[in-house]
Amino acid sequence: MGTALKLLLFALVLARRLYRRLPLFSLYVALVVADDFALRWTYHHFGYTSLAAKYEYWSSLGVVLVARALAVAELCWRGLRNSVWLIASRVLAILAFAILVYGMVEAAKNSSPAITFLLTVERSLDFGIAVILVALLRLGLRYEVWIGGIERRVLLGFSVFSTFQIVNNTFMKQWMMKYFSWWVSASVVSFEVAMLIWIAPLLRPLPPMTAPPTLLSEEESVSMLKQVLERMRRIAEEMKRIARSKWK
Amino acid sequence: MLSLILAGALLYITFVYLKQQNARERRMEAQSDLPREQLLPHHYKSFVEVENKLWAATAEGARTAEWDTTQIKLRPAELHLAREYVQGLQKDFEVGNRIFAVVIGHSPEVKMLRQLEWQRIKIEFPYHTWRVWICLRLWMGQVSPGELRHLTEIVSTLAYEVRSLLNVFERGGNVDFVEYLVRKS
Repeated sequence: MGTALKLLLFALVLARRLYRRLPLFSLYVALVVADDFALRWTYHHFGYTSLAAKYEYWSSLGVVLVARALAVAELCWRGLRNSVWLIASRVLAILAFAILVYGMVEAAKNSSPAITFLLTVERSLDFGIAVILVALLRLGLRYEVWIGGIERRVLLGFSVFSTFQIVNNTFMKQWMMKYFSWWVSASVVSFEVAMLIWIAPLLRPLPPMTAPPTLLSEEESVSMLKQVLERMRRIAEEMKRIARSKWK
Repeated sequence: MLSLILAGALLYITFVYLKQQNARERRMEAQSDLPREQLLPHHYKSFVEVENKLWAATAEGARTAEWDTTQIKLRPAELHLAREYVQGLQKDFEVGNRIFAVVIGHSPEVKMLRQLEWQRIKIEFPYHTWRVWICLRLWMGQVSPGELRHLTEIVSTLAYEVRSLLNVFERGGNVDFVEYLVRKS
């Protein structure tokens, strides 16, 4: 079921030429499919418990993780603009750095550093992606940022997947160690739900991608906004003066 | 615990954001033919009318020099009137704040964004505080004309700022941008 959905999603990404619109998300989908096949091939040829399977699993996990982080960053970049993006990109960079440092510190404490590093980074990344998505959506609400229908679905898919992953990681840590298989199943199901959310809008042809018209050039907006700011300050001062005169 | 709060917040904010996006699409369709005056804050202009109705409905004894601070016990008809007026002010605030938000979002410099954002907060904070207070008072069936006047002043300041910024853009020859702000934001 999972592989079929991945293949369908990948085929639709190619058919609808989504790679032109969301190249990093398309790369993420391609890597998810490649990872699935590589893993199946390795298990088939070398066995589930082989060293090759172990290396393949953990290395591909790292690659897919990075691709997921980039796909979310791409959404942020597309959604936010101008100075909002300048602020957001700094926050994103700090967050990414913190996740890496935390992963490395945890890995250094453990006897199997590479695996611990990846597991810690995965958990931190799920947490980080959720924080980034909350921040992106909050900024989106604050600045009335409008994104296209397909981008909205991609965002929703990532939100659903990240929410499941966070809840999963929390319960797994505290109560569900005994039920490891349940945890894995829940994780797989959450990804399948996310894939269904991504597949649905791709079943119909995407509306043509038109670049938003440049309504205001950068130089113009600087001078206009300076005037706006100046007027607002004057209005604020005037309001203060009126308020003061009323209370006298 | 923090993780679960984060997960809840993520789902909630995703839902709110998607709702906002859908509302925007519906709004764009609905307001394409409306005259521009209807698309800008305008409910606040009926304050005098509302105040006159309250005045007419108030007992003679309450019509004193301290009219502004008089606590009026509202009857159902006046309560309905006051509630409708406050809802109208909320719509005005939403429209003004939305236009403001889009303009701020177009700011190419972080410093300018911060300054414009500060101007916005200076209106948002008192508005929300007064609105919550007045809604609470209306829930208790009371209100004073002074409270309504204060909320009206905040909204009219925002409306004035919005009209002022649209004028700046229009005088600079950016009619398309103004149309976009009014009809498509």
